[in-house]
Amino acid sequence: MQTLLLAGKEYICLMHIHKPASRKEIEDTFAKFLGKINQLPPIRSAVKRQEREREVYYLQILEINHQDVLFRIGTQAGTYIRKICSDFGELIGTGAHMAQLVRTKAGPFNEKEWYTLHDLKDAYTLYIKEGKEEGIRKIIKPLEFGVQHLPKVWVLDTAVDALCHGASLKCPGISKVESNINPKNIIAVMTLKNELIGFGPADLSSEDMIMESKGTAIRLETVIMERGNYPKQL
Amino acid sequence: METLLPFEKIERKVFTKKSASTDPRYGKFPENRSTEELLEYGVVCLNKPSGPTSHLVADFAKKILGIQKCGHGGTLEL
Repeated sequence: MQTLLLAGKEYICLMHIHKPASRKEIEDTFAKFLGKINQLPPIRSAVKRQEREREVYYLQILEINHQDVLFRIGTQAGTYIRKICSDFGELIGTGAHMAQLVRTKAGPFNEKEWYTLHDLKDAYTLYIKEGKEEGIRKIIKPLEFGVQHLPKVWVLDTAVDALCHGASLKCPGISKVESNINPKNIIAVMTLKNELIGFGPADLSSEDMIMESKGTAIRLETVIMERGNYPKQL
Repeated sequence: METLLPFEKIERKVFTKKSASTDPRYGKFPENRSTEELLEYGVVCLNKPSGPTSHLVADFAKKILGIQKCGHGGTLEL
């Protein structure tokens, strides 16, 4: 889903330093990567190669074993960890490269609850052959699970169908609003049954959505719910 | 050390603009969806093995579940 592309990410990375370095040197060099950094995407990358600012939210050394460093890193979307390793190598003066990378968080998805293809196959087989639904229902989540990281606005039943037809959300259609919403934030628009209708950028802050009696609150750029689930006008 | 992403740190309260009930005849609470409905529209958090591409893994999942459509939500770009 597109909302995940923009969500923060966490990785666990194994980096290999080309010459021995002390723990202190490693820690001091890592400290330079915390916060806002400028990063030139690597030669082989999916985006245009021009320096761009990215934020590193946290960086935690998990283990150092000679020239191998295992660390956990939380970053803004679009941060190249491979580049962090090679830049680290340059800063520490000996060179370094990324040996292994696992993504441990992408928005609401994280390593606390992930499954293998085997798990999926086993659970599905149990469901099909023996009618046991428990396993497959644990693995497959309602798609609302995937927007947990987004701020939410709930709309009245009467507003739902117009939104499914591509209308933007107007203030009178709103029932409930989460706090800390600012214009341009991507908002998940929900029914009062907590079904995801769609998402898109806010035009107003949380306060203004509550106060205003007319005008557009959210422009739904992506509509997920199918038309006809709710009536045109109650 | 705190290892939380920005969205995990924001506390959000819910404010009511217009209190309303919802008509049980329309829509469905996500937790009340049948397994068939989950298979139709659902998400799975898969730990992708290294080797096959994300695209391939989405394809494997599609075959395992015998479904028509399946995609993935993000490539791990090294």
